[in-house]
Amino acid sequence: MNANETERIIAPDGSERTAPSEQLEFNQCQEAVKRLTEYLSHELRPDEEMAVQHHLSQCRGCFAKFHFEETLLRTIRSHVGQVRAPGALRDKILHLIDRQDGVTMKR
Amino acid sequence: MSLTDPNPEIVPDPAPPAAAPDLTPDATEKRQRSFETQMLPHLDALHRTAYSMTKNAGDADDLVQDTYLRAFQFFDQFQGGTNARAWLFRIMTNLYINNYRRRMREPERVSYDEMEDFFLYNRLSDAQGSGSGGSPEAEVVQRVQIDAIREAVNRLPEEYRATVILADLNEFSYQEISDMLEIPIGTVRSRLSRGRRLVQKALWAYSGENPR
Repeated sequence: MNANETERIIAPDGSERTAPSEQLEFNQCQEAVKRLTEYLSHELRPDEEMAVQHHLSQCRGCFAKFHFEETLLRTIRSHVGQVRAPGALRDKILHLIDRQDGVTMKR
Repeated sequence: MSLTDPNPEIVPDPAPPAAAPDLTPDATEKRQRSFETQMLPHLDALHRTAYSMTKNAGDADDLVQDTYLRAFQFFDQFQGGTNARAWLFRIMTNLYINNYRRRMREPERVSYDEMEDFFLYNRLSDAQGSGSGGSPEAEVVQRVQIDAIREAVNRLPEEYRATVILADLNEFSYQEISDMLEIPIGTVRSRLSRGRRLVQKALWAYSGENPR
């Protein structure tokens, strides 16, 4: 939809080298949000990650939203990470492995 | 079948291990020890993941047992020093795709097209009115309960669930997930992006149904 618009501003061809500051701000947010998924997974190239971080340091709105997403992810991870496998399962596996080697040896 | 065939180098189907193991009791004992030391520390993570994938305690136990059994059978092919966790997850994902998922019904299609970024943040902001400094939304989210998370992940359609579980709960890289699920990296990214939005939507729905 406004992908072209964004590109024009990021790579100006000379004739339209300055964008109204409000629009530029808008597009920076858009550029940052486009990278949200990979940012949260630490999958951005280092220079892109730095660009996003730079934007977050400048933009309170994006900072609050990204911070929220990071907090949510961390909360989910730490909750789920506390769940342990049942002790019986561990015993069963050890037993299976033991038996497995017994079978192998008899062969 | 061909689409989901496990990587034959890593998880050959039922054929016996290529290299015959040393079968003296001493060697057997050593092999078992080595296997247990390297592989058992990942039991909790595997079990959590199996449970999220199968949504069922019995199936999860079976899947984890099958995974360890298969891993043990092919332990001689495991390169010491490489990533045991990724190796086990790869075996488990293969087994899951080939055995368990086949038994499950087709995923329902969801429409995610109109789903916004920051769904949960926006709902919470709306609910709280324009906040005064700080980040009240983030504080709310820290109180999310395990039941809500489990429910949200369970509600994910099949295709998103595996990706979200591997990426967000187990922190595998896009490349590793791409290898495990045999899908392109771009697909990992888009499934994760949509899957995360669906999780947020489900968390929001859950909090509405289970007000505290």
